Amino acid sequence: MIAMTEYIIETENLVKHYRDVVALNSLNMRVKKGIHGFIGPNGAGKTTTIKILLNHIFPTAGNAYVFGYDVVKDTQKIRQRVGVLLERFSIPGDMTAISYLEFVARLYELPTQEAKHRIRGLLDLLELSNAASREFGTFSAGMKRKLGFAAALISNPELVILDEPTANIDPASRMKIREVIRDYYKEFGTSFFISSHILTELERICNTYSIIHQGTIIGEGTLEELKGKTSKSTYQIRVSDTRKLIDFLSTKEYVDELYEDEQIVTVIINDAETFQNDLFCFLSSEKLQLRLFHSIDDNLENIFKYLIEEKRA
Amino acid sequence: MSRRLRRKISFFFICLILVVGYSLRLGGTGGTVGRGDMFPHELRYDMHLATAGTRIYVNISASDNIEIYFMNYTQFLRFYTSNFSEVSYLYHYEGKKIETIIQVPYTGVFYFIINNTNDKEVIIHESIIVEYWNYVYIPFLALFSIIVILIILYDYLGINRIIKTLKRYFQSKAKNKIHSNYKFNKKSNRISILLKQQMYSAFTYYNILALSLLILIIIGGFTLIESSSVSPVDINEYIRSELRRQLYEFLIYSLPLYSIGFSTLLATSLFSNEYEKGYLAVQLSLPIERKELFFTKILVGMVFLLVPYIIVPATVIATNTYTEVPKAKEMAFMTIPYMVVYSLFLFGVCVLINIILKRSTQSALFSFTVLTFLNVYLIIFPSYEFLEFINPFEAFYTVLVGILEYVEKDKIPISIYRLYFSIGYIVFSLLVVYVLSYQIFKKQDIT
Repeated sequence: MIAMTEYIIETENLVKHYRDVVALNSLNMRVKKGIHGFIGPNGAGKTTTIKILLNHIFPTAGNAYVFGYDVVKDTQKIRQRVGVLLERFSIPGDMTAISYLEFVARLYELPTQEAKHRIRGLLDLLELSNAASREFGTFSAGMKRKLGFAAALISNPELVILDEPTANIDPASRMKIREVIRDYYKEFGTSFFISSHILTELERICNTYSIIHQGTIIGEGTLEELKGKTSKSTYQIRVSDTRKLIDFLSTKEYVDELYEDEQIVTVIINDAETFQNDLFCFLSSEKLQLRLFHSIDDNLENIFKYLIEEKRA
Repeated sequence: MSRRLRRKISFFFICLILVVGYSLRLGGTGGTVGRGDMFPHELRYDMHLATAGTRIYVNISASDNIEIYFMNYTQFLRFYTSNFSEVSYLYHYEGKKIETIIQVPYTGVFYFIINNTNDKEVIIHESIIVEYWNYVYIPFLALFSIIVILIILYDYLGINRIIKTLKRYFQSKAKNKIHSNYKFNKKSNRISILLKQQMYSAFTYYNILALSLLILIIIGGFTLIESSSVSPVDINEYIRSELRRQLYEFLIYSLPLYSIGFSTLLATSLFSNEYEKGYLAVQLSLPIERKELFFTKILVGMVFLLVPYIIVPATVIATNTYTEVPKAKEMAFMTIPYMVVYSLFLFGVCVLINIILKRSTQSALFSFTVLTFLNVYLIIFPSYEFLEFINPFEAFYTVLVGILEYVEKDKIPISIYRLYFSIGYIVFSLLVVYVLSYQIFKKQDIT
């Protein structure tokens, strides 16, 4: 066990094999307090990592710690401090929302009044009050996710692990969930570890990210830090003669992708410095007028794309 | 207690009523055996399908000493394939005039045998064997019916509203009456919370039993119609008796098939309902330990398991208080340790599986499935004789005896039904075990 660590989640050379398939390949990840996004393509090992953190499956090799506790040996200590919403959240169909939340509240040994207060509060907050006495089997997919989210928050945990929290949820409820996550972080200091495919959504709430690819972390940190890990950049340019610009750029080796849309040329390059020098020399020699020039790299989706492409290459 | 829970409880008692009602009817067959001359060392037998607690009146008088035996199916098989000195039996009497009441210790097929041990012919003057209707189940039937009726009255005839109004009246001075529907027990620990939840879910499983019991009742009805048509003066008595014997055999040997089928259904319900992967993963993400989940499930299973076994020995003991039936009490008590040992054995198997496969939650699933099998067998068929049928060794033994019969015709009383069902039972059991094992082990992880 690691005593007193600054990281809420930490993995050391984590390996998981499913027979011949390598799901995790020496995964090293460090997550600090805050709202953390865990992203990766399908089959990258996101769910496997979460399963190991929750002790649902056991690592083939390596170690994982939550709050410094070993996930295999100190499962109970971790579970008491962690709220979880799984991707496949399911409870018996004849259980009502309120009875499930009561059941969860009791397991966390919440005082009676406090539990009542929180159940009512969360049901109101997530607009489930009208369905409080309805059976789970009658819930829509979105309502089920919201109930799972409420259950994850009921104990006011230090860390909430969310696997695809906004899947099947309408836009208004998504906004609500984002708002709740931000509020809990600000008000109670609750950390969130969110695995999601909706990168634009993660970008709006997360402070830090981990990008996983083929069972290995290929990028970790804030958006700025991630940006520094890739040599690729995307620029949008508009000049007085688009044709000339395209002809010029299409001959350059540092250009990976190039396309034009309504006279705006979007270019993905792998050497930003050479590109900028070349471009400005070209513009002055050809006496072209520069109308638009800006980088669109502070976009999680692009950074994610670059890192994955670089890793594949 | 929520209305939903009350509904489940009432359904559970309806299932019990069906079981008990069926048991009540099965007590009502009767007949005669072995009147007339008996050759030296001749054996005659009659078959009885009876439920625990059924009393059988026996009145036989002969010109010389004779022996009578009352034994179960397995004892009967061994009786034919071993020496007399090694024979075990449930009741044994000897004499010229035998008048007694036998009480059936458990549900199953029993054989009544008259043995002429003399080297000369013996004349049987009188031979009456009557199975009384099994009235001992009536108090239980009444009790369960009352519970169901009370729940129906409470839920559907407005009594709950009257009680709620009264409650509200008495609680009107309470400070926090708005929240009075929320009551958490501060002292309760995780085990008790889990137990309550497991008990709640367990009632759901019993609903499936209703279907199986209905089928049994229909078959029971046919049995009764068939057996009631047997009359001692009927010229076709022999043919009818033989048909009855075949039908009984069909019934008793098809019981394992029913139970395996229902167990499969029940196990499937475990996978698709509470123990579907999603919910198991949800539970194991909460502050619940795997061993707690396992322990509470086993405990709930054991509690439900006990229900019919409180009824069966209790009925026999209760009957014995007003009828001095020899050995009845001992027999009733005998079923209890047998059940406990058998339950402990399966419990041990579950624990062992859990220890061996502790690295994944599939062990819990597998244990639950084993327990489900245990529950269904013992709840539907409260008979320790029946348990001998689910023992593969017994099934193999039956097949072996059947082959012997085929080789040495007429020497051993094994019918073709018995042989087919034993073979079928073995094949089907292996198939079910294979299918369930495949279901359980095909995926490594639970989530």
